[in-house]
Amino acid sequence: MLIRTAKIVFNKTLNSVIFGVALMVLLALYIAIGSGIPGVREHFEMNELQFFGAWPLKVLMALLVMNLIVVTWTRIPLTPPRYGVWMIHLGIITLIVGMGGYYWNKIEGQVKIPLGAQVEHFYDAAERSLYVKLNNDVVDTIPLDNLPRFKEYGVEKLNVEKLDKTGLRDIQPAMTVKDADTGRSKVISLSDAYGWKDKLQIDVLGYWPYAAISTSFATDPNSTDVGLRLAMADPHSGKQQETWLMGSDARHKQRQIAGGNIEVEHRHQDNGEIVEGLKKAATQLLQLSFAAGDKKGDTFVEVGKAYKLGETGYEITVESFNPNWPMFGTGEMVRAMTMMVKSPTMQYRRMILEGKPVQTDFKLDEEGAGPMGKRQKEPLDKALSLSFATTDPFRLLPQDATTKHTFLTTGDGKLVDLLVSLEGKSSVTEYPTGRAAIEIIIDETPPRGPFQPPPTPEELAEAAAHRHPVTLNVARVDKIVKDDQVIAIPSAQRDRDIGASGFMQVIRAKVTMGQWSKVVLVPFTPEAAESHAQWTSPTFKLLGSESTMQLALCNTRFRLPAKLTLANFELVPYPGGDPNSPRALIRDFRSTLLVDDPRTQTSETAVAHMNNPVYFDGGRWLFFQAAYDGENKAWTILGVGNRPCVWIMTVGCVMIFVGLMYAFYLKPIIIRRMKQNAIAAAEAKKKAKATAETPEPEPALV
Amino acid sequence: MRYLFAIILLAVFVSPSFAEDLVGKVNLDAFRKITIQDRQTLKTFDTFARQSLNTITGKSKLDGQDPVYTVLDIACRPEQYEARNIIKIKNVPLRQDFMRLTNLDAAERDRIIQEGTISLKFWMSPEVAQLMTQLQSTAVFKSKAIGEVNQAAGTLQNIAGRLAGLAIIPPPPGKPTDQKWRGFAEVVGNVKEWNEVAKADGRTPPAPVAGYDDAVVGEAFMRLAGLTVDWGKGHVDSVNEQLAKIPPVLPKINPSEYPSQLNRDVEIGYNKLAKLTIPGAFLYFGAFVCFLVSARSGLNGVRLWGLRIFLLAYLVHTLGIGVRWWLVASQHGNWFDGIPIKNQFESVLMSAWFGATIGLIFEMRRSRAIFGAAASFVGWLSLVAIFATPYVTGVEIGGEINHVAGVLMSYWLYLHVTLVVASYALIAMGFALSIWWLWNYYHSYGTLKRKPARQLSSDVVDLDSLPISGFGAGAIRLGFVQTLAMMLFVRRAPVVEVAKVQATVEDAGAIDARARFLATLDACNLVVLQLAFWVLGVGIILGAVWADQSWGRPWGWDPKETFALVTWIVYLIVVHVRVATAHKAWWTAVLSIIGFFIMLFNWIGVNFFLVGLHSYA
Repeated sequence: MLIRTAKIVFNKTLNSVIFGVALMVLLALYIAIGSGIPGVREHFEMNELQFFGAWPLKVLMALLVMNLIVVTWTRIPLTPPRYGVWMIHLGIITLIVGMGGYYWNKIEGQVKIPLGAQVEHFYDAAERSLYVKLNNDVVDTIPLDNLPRFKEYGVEKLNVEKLDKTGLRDIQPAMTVKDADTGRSKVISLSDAYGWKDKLQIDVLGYWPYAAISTSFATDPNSTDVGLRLAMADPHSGKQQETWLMGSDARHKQRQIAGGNIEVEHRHQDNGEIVEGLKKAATQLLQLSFAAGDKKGDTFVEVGKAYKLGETGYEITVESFNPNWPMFGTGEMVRAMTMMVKSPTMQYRRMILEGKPVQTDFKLDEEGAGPMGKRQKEPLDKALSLSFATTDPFRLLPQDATTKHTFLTTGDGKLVDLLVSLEGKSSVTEYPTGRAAIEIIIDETPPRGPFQPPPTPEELAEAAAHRHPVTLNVARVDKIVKDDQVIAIPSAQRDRDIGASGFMQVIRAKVTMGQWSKVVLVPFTPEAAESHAQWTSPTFKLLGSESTMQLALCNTRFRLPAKLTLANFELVPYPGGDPNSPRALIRDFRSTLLVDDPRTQTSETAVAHMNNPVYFDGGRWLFFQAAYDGENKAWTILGVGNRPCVWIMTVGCVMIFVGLMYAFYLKPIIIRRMKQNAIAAAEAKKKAKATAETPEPEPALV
Repeated sequence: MRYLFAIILLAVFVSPSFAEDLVGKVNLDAFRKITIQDRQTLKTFDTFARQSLNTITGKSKLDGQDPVYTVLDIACRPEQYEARNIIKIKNVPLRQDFMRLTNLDAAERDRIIQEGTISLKFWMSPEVAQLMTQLQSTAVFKSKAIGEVNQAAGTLQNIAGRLAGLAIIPPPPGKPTDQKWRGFAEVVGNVKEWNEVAKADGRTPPAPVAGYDDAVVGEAFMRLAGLTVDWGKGHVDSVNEQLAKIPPVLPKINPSEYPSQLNRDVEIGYNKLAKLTIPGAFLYFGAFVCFLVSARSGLNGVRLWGLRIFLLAYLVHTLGIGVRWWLVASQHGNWFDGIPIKNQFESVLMSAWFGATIGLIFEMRRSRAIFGAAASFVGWLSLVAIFATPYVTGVEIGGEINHVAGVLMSYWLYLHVTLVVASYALIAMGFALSIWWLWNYYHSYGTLKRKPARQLSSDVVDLDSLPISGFGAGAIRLGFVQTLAMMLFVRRAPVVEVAKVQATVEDAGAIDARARFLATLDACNLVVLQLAFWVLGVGIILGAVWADQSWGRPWGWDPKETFALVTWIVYLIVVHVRVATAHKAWWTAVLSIIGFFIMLFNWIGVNFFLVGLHSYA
């Protein structure tokens, strides 16, 4: 009975074409839903690869393979007309097996390579990890396989228990050390490595897929941190606006104010010698080198000041410094310095460009000359050679604005303002009380439209009304503490690409050691291992030890199969495009790489560009062009991937194609021939039979 | 002289205007054919003007005027357009957002909602700028709509008062060329008169661009300056003189780089004929009607006329592709990069062409008016769709010749996309045949419920022995060469064959003619779907090979990939349904319709509703 039932079930399932068709329908539905209704995937906290690697699809695929095998074996005779079907079915099975192997072993990620730099690691495309930094060293990377992706979790959402999963609770950071006895590397917990009495444990207690961290500041007698409170009035409403800077916190170290025109940064420095060094550096940003005959020298200069050039007899007055001077012809942006030169015999104006051996002189007081003087094709005074370089080892120059105030708080309670502008002006002002009131200008002059002619004197006077002088009050605050709150960004305010990159993810982690614990918000940090100095989560001291700890969330990092060096990067625009223009339409982007194979110790140059990856290790790995630095072309991003079982899938596809051609176009011919042969055979048989039945003609009588 | 020239120069760059417009008084025939480099694409001024107006106003004409006239008028009399409501806000919800502005009166609010137009002056006002900034930060999904208006405003800004800024000067002669076309504003350093005026003003003249013949550039510059001033003053005769004399000067700057007269004439003609879509669609529709009539009536002569019109439609269609190919290839300097299959317009155009090719071959070989009807229907629908879509939806689908994303410049594109769009045409033909089958089924049996299907499927009919296909169908199976000869009036329908057909019709009387026709339709459907099935399969596989090279993995479960796979699975089910069920033809028709809609969603819908890597496909 049981066998009979089993036979019936077998015949209605694995041995049934209708069952196979039903499986195909289910497969199509699963794929269509998973791909067409992202909400379903997101409900299960899965991305595409996870959803299409989940057990339901695996079960359907397995059943389909079994159905194909059984039906092919039992129902399709292996005769010439059926070779095509056999081939197709075997091809589909081969393809599914190949795909299984592919996704089981697949690794894919990205690597960012700065120009000229060599990299050895890449970041996984999907898997995220918790990075642990102890005393400024990244000591452990812990994969967070079960971390959600799309929904928010935490006590506020009353669903924190859903994070109670393997890999998110009782995380014990570890580090690799060399065994003193055997000399071999081994992994031990941080507690063991540092001899801490209590076990160090991290638990993930919250997750936000798209959030920002809001910080408030206060004072606490137990704190040792120093910060700044900046306040200024809105030029229109008169309302006081306040912001805080805290040099020890990466997220609040610096910001832009006054509509982005001014950068402010806080640094705290107890060491008096370093403070003096910084003050000196603020006035030594432009280094001028001169040579006249055999007399050479260099000196630091500032705009608006006059200098004697050593014993040369020349005297200069630096008139202006332009950080963005477009060169004639090429349009290349360079830094330019203009100065009035007085030699023993003449006076003229000279412009020099940083890094360019060009000395452009302007003859003064010549008829028809412009305000700069008459530009000369050859230097007026070939005896004098000038050049300059910007020197900013302490990064005091503004990066994204025109002026920068670096506020220095010192160990003796002072506040020092190091003011540097891109026009080459700088100043150092000390405020012994730790409080400063600084006049700044908020410039709200609207840009001139295409229909407007050059401004008239009246309009220029009116424009002055858009320049509002306001007082920036800066106050030093000792014993400062900050409190971070996570703010989920409403979905209407989320950028899809940023969301997909995961850069706005935040987790809440609780670090526990014995009775002590601390809860910190850990935002996502791109390239966490390389950029560990820029981690923005709080650094805290582990109670009972002298160690400080900091955490970061980032994608998991793996070692590359080869070391990659970016030797060159170039953009190839469509004809007529300027590769330096952000508006140019780009035809191709090309990364010239030096690929070092660590196994063979060989190195070769290869170019990864659009639709043309660099294959490595006989095609087992590939590096393909994925993204680039559009502004400065200072880095490239390559996609990295292995290619397991690709050849199996290729064989499967070829078998399907050949089988289809056979089944659709060869099979009818074969069947027709078989029919014709059968008919011919039957005819022949019939004829033979007729011949056999025909009586022998009687012999003629002679 | 110096002062006069200074005034002219001021006019070129500041563009005041003094006079009434020149509507209907200027001859733009020569000027519309000058070449301009816009978005790194060389095009005639005619094309540029039409595209620019489309971007700004959503229509290719303003006030019913020639777009070339309007663009020149904007360039020479910008103040006339600064406050005109000509910038179109296509996104209706964005129009609603303008209601938040408190400085608008009720009438103006209603106008913005109804017309959806605003002026450049309004767009650039601080209140609107503030509103847009706020919208972009609080409703990121509106960024695209805001970007569209910004692009429209930017296009207007680039034209308004900036005739000297348009890139109509070819690159300087000599090799290698930088292929960068320049506006007059960029080559003023080469103009002697300009340099003199600049010096007189105490300004340093800009450096000349090396390689140009300053005399020729200077002449062109002077004429353009004259055009600007005269247009502003309304001097018709002088304007017409400059409009006639500027075009011959420009090619002299670099004759080898300047597109040929033929190229420019063809481009303008191609655009005027709606890129040959409407003539093609018109002819396809005529052929479709003939084939349908022939299939119903059995009139062989009508089928032959259907074939003749179909062939004509096919030639127009092919010409449309050929001209486009030539025009695109001339942008790239080679034929390979010019293959027109890189955007939605081109892929639909090519898809319909593949369908027409296959339909024509089948129709001439099999001679049943059925393949012809299906292929001409697909051709007609496709050409109408690509012509009408930009007007109906306001979405540019690539009809205008411009550069595409660099990643598409790959030979894999041609292999993958060509096969996929060819399969789509076949799927569409299958859809038409399935609808036809179900229609006849319903009219034959009064129901769409399944009947014992063995009588209805092609299995009962040996196609090769079927001289006619039920219901008359008008078809005589004469073969490719004979049909071609008859189509071209080389020979008449053979009397013997017709007699044979008559005899067969009489012999066949015993069999239900309706069932025979359904069986024939099913057989034709099967031929088409079989082809669609494997062509789509190969297209998907080649796409996987390309994806492996471009994205580092052959299959990433991108929506475009997955829905192509789902489409393929539907036809895989068709193949198995024909083995496993008794209702072969019915299931084939129903599944073919389902497959068509999935294909359509994949081709068009995925781009609008889902996010993926195939955003340009």
